Amino acid sequence: MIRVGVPSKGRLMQDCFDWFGARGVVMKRAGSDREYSGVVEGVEGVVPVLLSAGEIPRELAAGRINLGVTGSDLVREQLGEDEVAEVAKLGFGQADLIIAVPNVWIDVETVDDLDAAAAGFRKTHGHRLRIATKYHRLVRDFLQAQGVADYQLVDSQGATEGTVKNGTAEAIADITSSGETLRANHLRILSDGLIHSSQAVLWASRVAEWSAEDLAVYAGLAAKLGVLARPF
Amino acid sequence: MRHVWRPSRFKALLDRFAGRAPVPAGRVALLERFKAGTPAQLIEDAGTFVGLRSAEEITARAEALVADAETPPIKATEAALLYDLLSLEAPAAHALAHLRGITPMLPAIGPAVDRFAARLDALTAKGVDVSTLAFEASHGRTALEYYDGFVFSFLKDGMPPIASGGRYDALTAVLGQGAFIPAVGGVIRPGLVARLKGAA
Repeated sequence: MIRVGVPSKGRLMQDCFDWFGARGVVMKRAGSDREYSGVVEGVEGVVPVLLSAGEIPRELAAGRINLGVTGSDLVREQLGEDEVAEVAKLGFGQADLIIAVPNVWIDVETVDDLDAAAAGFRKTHGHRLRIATKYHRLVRDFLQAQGVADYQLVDSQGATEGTVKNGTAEAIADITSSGETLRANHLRILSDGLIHSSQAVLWASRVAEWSAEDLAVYAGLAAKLGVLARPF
Repeated sequence: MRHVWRPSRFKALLDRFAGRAPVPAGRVALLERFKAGTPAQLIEDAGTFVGLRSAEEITARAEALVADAETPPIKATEAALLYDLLSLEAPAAHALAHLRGITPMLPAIGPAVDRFAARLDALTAKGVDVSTLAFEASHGRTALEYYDGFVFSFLKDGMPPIASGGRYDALTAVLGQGAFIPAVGGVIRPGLVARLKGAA
């Protein structure tokens, strides 16, 4: 019996069901619209577990689900290579994690400029330039790889675009699918400020128990989905 | 100068200042935009002002970038000496002779070369053979960011550094808000030392 975590509502759930459905694995919510349980037709031994997309990384890391569908941004932010393996990119749920600065920063176009502005800012204001984000790990890794040092991350779990106007940050790093919210908040993306191109991915937990039967079930599922016959 | 601790960025900057590498596209776009008006006008045109970074700071950097673009490149001979300096790797005594040789052309390094000479004398007095001691001008530049003078590592093939450290005088000046004490420190990895002793 293998457990597959899938998003429990909205567009992400529908896209996910469609992706599996197109490959002959029909997922449905059981019972009424309000009941969070599901059924799978077309392959034996697979149980869908309906979860909030944000909780799927945690469930994968705990090994409570064998497989799970969620955004690569969440998994790369929260988990390591030893916890999950990427099974397949699903081609929906695209969104970019980017760095944006105030549009009035006419002297800042690239990450290199941000680095110089940050060094100057620290000298003038006596504290580091603040970047608001909820993606601490991805942002830190990106800036470290580019040699940017004079910044600090401030945690922002929502309405991140508003932090600059509200005076709690100088720049932001956030997920954007259009760019309208950024423009409405007088921000502009750095020309080389793409940190991560996120999309929905099917992940396999390396922590979950995989019995011989589970691996056989997986191989059957994998044949239908057109992915490698072993989870990792 | 902060880029001296980030070798790839420092080299990119030196290449640019020496005229060996083209100006990056992002900078070209910025300079092009600056032609459309004064910084004050451009800031005004960019819409609602948000954030703590002031118009004066933005203007000052914009003007510095324009001045920078108008500065002629570093002379080829000077740039060549800087590349030579950064890539210097030789036994310490030999390196000193080489540095003495180029000091007349790069007088700014004179005091540092004198300190290097004094350090080698002190090592010799302690019985260290500086004619075989390895020296690299760029040593530690990727990993030892707060060190700002002499840095050292004890190395053994196939192992991470067994010990490393050096001078970090600027750090005490920053933390002390101007008050300063000379500082030297380092780490020894006891696990590696034990492994080496066990092997001996």
